Amino acid sequence: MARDLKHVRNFCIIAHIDHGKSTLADRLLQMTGTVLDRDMKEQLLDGMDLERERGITIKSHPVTMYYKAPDGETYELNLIDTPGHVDFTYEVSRSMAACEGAVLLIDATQGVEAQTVANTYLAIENNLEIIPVLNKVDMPTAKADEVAKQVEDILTLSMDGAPRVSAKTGLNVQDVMNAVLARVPPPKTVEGAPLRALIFDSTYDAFRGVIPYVRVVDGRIKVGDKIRLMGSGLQTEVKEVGIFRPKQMPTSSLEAGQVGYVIGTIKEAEQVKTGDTITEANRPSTAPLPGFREVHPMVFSGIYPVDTAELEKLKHSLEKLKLNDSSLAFQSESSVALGFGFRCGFLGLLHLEIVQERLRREFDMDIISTYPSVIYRVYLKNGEFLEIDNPHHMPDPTQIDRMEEPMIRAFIICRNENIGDIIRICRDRRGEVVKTDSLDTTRIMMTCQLPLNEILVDFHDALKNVSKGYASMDYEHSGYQESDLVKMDILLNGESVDAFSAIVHRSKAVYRGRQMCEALKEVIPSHQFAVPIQAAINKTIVARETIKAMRKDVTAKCYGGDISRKRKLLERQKEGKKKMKQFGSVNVPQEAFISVLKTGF
Amino acid sequence: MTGAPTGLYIHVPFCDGKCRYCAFYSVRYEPVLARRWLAAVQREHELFRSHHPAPVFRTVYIGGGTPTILESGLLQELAEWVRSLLPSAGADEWSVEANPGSVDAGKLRILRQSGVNRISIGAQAFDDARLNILGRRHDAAAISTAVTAARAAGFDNVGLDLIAGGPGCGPKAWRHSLNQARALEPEHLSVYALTVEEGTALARSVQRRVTRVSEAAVTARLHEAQAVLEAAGYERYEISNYASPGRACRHNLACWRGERYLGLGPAAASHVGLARWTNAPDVRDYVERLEAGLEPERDRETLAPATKAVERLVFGLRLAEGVDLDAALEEGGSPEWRGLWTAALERFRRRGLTQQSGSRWRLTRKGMDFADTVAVELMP
Repeated sequence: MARDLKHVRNFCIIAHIDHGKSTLADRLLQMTGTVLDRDMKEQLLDGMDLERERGITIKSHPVTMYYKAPDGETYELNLIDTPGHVDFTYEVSRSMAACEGAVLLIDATQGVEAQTVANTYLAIENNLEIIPVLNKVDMPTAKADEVAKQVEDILTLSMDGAPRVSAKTGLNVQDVMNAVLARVPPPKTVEGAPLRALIFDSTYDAFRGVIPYVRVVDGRIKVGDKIRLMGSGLQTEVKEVGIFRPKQMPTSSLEAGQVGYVIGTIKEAEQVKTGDTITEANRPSTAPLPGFREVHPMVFSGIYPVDTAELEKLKHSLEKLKLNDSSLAFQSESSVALGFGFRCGFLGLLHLEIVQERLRREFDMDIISTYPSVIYRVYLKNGEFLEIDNPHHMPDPTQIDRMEEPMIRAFIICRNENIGDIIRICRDRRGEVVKTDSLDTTRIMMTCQLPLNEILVDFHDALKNVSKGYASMDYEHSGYQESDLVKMDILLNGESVDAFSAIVHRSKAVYRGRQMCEALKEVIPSHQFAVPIQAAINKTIVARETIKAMRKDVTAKCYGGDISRKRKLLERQKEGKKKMKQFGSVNVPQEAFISVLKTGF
Repeated sequence: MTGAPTGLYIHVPFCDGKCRYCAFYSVRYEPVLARRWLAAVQREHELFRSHHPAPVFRTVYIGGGTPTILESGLLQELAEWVRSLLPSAGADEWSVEANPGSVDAGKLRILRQSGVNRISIGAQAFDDARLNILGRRHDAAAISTAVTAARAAGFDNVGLDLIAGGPGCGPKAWRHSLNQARALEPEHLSVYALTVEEGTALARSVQRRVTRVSEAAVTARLHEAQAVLEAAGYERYEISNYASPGRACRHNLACWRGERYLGLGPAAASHVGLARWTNAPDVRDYVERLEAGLEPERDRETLAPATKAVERLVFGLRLAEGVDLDAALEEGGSPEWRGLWTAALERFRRRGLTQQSGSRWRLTRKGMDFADTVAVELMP
């Protein structure tokens, strides 16, 4: 069938968290009859529990809808619900590359937020037609005119005729649909050109292997075709193709302009990288689609099983996660303190949190993770150059000529009255505000330059705290900068515990050492002997706390002859003790690792 | 019959108020409810007997709550009924707990005449300020009055309870309490470390940081008690218990030795063979269920022989006599435990917490301060 591309539109929705992206998607699915009302559940496209709970999208969720427009014609609309976080910038940009337009959704009660800005910049970079839409206009606190002006001022987008909707009630959602039809250009293709399809995501199915999600740009894919991935070189025969309705629905072929999935016999998630181009093995294209690159982890953390016997289980769990999340990197490592585990690389903090959370929930793993680290560049006096992501690998300070650390550019949007606090938070974290723009009479956007390692742990919490939750933040990476960094060790009872070591800026070392010692003192139980907790830089102690020796550990009596109750109390203690890690003769509970993570810079 | 209980415990769940530290189950005394309670206890015993052969009780312990809060008539009914369950020669030891504020010569006489041969008096402290802090409703003078009355009623085995530590229990006040207690020449003294039990007024006060219980101070008081009482000829036969030679509380010993006992009344625990059950605490529910011919609500457990072996070991260690590893392993457990236990006990020996003679192990004086540390290490 010769396809009429005039009746196809590929678009995505971009928005700040909680601005109503998933709700709008739900309404579009209902309006087009893609999902029957009775099958409708909230945030249908966010399939993972974690996504629903946190209101974030982690995986791409494409869906094909058919819409009978007021002009009487039926259109095929492909909505690609993109991940909405800076950690996944590359994935977002590939999802955007599969579209010609983007609906930019802004909460009319909140206004422009940091993610609105970052996502809009990404959409502009990807040459998308942007359709701004104001959401939640039915709310009494909506200030649509004011927000429209912000969009025009900050994002320089025209708001003339921009739909004003309530995704929740469905008010004016029709206008969004019509704007998509009117303004998003139909896909373009080169007639007769060899197959080129962009992989913008993939998923893993235990029976069918790795399933790439594609947008066909030129040519067509059908069952029986031999295809090749231009980047990885992988070849396979197509067993099935289909579209998302929103569940996978097989079709005879995928044509230029269409969005769907391809099933071959692909076992290795490694071989299917987002951004790669699928072509025909027998009639290959010579030019892959632009924009493909390898993604490199930015944040690292050691993940260890609490129970050392669960190492294999942890490995299998990580392997399974990786099938669905090719950006997760891990390799074996061992820690004196924690035994065997894995050094894991993440795209960013949210990614790290999500992986930890999924390990706990979906794989029922008890894990300990070490303080997150970034990649530091170390230039040695002998001319050698190292990249280290683990304090353990830090060379002796006498050999180091200089070091560099990764920087970010952060966009922070806040109310005017919080400016002072936020500048202070940035300065405390060795950052500087490079630019401020006012959004309206009450809010401003600050652009800041900060070291990545300073925002790893509690930067977000600090922002939310001083702003009572109003400030929003997003960031992009911005290269490396020379920095005076030192390795700080924590000693328990005189022995260094490698899992607590961290690379910190020299100006922060004493303060940070003190904080860590204080935090550990709170969570490490008392022992029969006094336990000193010390922070040291190059063997010089910079901070110290002492856990006093326990005076006694004995139950006075047994209530009403209830020996069982007494035994169960002891059993509970034993369980607690089993969950602790022993360093020398000091028992450290899991909370210690978490509480150290929570101590900010 | 090997599984039959040799001990009887009866829980009297009534008090005239709640002490601030106490986590035992009790409600305010109501005469009508108390009468129904006694009938229910008797009914519970009947239900037990309908499934089990008649036990031969060698020890009886009536605790609470405050057993002596029962009015004389009811107390006599209770005592006579218990007497009817005993062999004709009576029990080897029959203890009743008494509170200085609620016991009088009349009640003591009733008890003694029914065959009770041991009175345990909840003194707790000997200065009025501290008694007040603890939420006790008697004064120091009432303690010696009670002891004198017990002697007059014919009791030659009297125990006193003391609580060490917490507010108002400085070294001076504590020494005063110890001296006063000793001067009354009881045969038995229990010295309990003040324990912050969940759900008590004390726990709430500690949580609000109104009260602080210093572990270091509690430990110092306990050490002082040991020095004073041992010098006065008492033997510390269990972590919290001291007695004149031959006057160790047999019921208490039986508990820690893992012997069998039947517990009647709300919140009472029973241990018969490998079966364990603990009645739910609610007295009204207890009474209503038994009036309807039903068993009380219970937490039940059937011990694995291995669990029983572990209990024998860790609870036996609380006693000065210690525990014989071979005897404990006769209860169950796997043969390699012997080696594991010995290795662990040996590690504690090097740290000065345990001592050994043949296959018998004991806690040292220092070890008694860390009995739970040792126990947890020995558990599988």
